[in-house]
Amino acid sequence: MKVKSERPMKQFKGAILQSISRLDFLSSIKGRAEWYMMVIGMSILVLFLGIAVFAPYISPHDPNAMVDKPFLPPNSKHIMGTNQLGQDVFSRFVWGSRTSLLIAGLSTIIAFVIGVPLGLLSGFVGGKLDRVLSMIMDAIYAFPGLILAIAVATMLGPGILNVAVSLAVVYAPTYFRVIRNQTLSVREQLYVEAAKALGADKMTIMSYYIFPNVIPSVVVISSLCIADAILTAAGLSFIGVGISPEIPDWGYDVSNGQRFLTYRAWWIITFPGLGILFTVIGFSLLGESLDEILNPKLRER
Amino acid sequence: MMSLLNISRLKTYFYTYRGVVRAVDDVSLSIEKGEALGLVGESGCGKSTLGLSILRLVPPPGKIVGGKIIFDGENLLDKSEKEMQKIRGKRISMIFQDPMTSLNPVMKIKDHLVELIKTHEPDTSVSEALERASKFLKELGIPPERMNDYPHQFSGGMRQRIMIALALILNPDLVIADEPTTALDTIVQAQILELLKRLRDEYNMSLILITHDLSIVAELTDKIAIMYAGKIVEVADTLSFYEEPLHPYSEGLLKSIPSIELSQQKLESIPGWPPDLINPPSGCRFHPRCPYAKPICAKEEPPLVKMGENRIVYCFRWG
Repeated sequence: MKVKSERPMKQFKGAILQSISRLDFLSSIKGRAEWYMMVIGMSILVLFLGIAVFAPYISPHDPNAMVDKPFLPPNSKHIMGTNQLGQDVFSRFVWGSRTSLLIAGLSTIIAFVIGVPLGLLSGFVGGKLDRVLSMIMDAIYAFPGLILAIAVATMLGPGILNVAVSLAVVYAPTYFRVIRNQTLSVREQLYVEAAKALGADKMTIMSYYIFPNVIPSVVVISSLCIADAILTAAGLSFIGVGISPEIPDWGYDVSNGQRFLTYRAWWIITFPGLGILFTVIGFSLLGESLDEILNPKLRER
Repeated sequence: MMSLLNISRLKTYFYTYRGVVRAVDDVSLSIEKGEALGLVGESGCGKSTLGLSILRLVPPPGKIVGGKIIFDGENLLDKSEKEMQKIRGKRISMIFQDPMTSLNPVMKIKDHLVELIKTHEPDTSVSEALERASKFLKELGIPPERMNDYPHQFSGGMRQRIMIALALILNPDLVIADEPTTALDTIVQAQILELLKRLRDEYNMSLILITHDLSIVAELTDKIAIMYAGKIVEVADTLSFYEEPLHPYSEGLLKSIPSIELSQQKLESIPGWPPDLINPPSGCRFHPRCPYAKPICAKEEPPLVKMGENRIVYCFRWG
């Protein structure tokens, strides 16, 4: 049993390293459409990540302090204007990137960690286990996402980690379903049978033959889920079960600021809105290009 | 002398909703060390299932329900799954029909080979395994520098060579080749057969060649077993089989091969269709299509008739 528990870890590590080692041909796709998609996506994300990491140095004011008159349009002192409470929109934008990226990243990681292994197991083992897991996941899936997130978030209370967990609960079934269905189809491929005929054990088949063949679809779902997660998190903050208002957050600012559009205060929601938009575009571009790049068959075209 | 593989009264049934499909029904067969056996029959007669049964890889709802498979003195049906994993690939390996889909699309060729070697010989270092792989691939006509390529970058014939490399690199005692050339064009087919022949002589391995094509069996095998509707109907050494097929089904099969020399003759086919294996005909399963059928054929199972040293036929005509 000891040997058994050590080997799979090594194999999974091997499978992941193997996926990374495929990047060695990166230079060969230079100049192609996927290359530009990846570069643009990466630069957007790196830019926002930089803003998030260096927020204390970039932001000119305390994001929660009343620094000027409310509803000031963008001017030389406040390049994104001020909001209804007289807070500096730019400072809130800079600090908000932290929250949004953190929630998006955390929820995706948690959903991945729950959904992917369960999906693999369910699809590969099949039988009763598959039935039980699928039923549980379908039950979760049947709830409208926002309602479920609200329920879980209410239970857990406010806080970044709690919001991320409640979002992960909503998105884990998506990962589970996609991975399970892919596993079911890959499991029947001749190369899996050939591997069995050459003496591969179950763990080898899962980690070398099934996992790498199902993982490209995860890249695409996660880029979609990340985008959705940021918006749902905004919804949670809006009704007060998400992040407390003193933590600046793009989603909260957008949902809160829309009331003031009637005062022609467009700047309150436009800038955090653009932040969400570009983050989503960045993840999508990166996701799509990685899908093309990591798939050795698509790569040849 | 003890045979390398001795299958006796093997039964592999598929339990479907429609009923029990008797894909392999009471089959006995043996192969000596270094011998090549051609297992011939129409599609659906159970020949692939027989091959998969030897490796204990019959897909559900299929199940081996009876008999023995004695390999090198041990019954494979008594082995645990773990023990079978050690045998598959190392002592008995298999080559599949479709080389286009039998390699993992996201693994480089070298990873396929290294993984296989490391699975069965964990003490080998990666560099040793790589060296061994490149040597062997070279022998099979694949330039070693192409080991860094992915399966889709190879042609069908090349991929089948790689499959053969995977099946043979650990020098197994027995190789089961399930229609290894069916998916390939004629020229590549000839090359692959030539390669199999050479490797078989070189490594003195036993070979089971599963095929529906009698013309490729002649080149490669010492012995032929004809299978019909889940049963073996005739076993003969290749030469005498082609000279004089004994079972009426074998006769029909040989007559239905198109040939240039016999172009003036009409190409014959066997009337009727292969039977439904859920409700096989009573008695001899071939009797509804047999030109020599007698009343007894429908009532009783045909007896095993020994004709000469190595010939067996199950037919009332001879016994």
